[in-house]
Amino acid sequence: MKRIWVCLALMAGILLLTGYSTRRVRLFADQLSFQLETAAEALHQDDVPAARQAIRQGARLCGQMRRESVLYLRTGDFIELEASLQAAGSHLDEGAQEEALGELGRASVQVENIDWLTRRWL
Amino acid sequence: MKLLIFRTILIYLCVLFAMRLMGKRQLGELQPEELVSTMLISNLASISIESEEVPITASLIPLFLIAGLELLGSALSFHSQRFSNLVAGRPKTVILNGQIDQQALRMLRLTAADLLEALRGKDVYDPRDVAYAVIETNGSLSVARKPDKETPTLADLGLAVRQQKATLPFVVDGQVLTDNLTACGKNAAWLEQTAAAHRLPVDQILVLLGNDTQDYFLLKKESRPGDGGKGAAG
Repeated sequence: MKRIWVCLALMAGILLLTGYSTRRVRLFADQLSFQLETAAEALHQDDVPAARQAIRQGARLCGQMRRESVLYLRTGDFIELEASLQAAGSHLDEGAQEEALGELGRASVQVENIDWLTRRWL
Repeated sequence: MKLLIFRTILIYLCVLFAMRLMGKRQLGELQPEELVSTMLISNLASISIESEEVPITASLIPLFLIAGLELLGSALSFHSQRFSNLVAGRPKTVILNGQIDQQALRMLRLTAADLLEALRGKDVYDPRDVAYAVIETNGSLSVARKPDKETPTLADLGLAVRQQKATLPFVVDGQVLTDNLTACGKNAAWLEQTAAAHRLPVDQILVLLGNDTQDYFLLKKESRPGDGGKGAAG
């Protein structure tokens, strides 16, 4: 009977961790989507400083997520996202807005994919 | 994470189903659900060791989930015979009163040669000697011989028992098993005396077996391969 209780406690722990990680990833996807939209909008309006600010903010979010969730999530997606945003930032620094927009588009697809993964059941 | 859990459950159920589908021939001594758990757990354990980019919980969570499913399955099997039959199957009688049930053999996809081999493993060389033989849910064969073909015991023969205790090892590889000595009413002094009678120190004894009588078997360690070192019974 003791073993059954341990098993139930483990199950409860697993479910809690599942709920927490899913919520965390969705929140991250929402925040990052917002930053990407802001950056893209700013670029369309030729507001480069605002776009740069949003991209930096997004890259910071990715870095934070990568470091804090290393124990319970695969961090490959966050690393790739961070790299895309860093690349977009570099393109902006070089004045290549079209390339920066391309990188932002790529990052948007990745964010969408991460969010979709949290909604899949199988 | 959710994906991982549902995949784990699905894979567990699918592998279990596949094992049940494959039948008893695929199993060893383990019950189907035990075998599935063992296989999956052994694979899962290696994932985090081999791949650094995979978080440790990616192995631990499915591992505990499988262990939980295994426990849940055993608890359900304990309370429900129907569930137990569904997961582990039922024992199948293959010989009854010396008659081989060929229908059962076909169902289990066991050949006559397989059955005879399993019977030989039980020291039965003639199926007619068998009163009852079943293939258990773990794939092993259990055999009950006909009463007139059973090995007679001392009680059957009406003979007096010379020893009350089973023959136990007293020394193995020079290591003295004091509990066994005590259980047979012997002590260290008896051991020393017995070793001295063979002009051996105790640590040079490979095996010393005995019981509560004065009978014992001693085998000394051989110093070199091919050296004659057999001891004598006392």
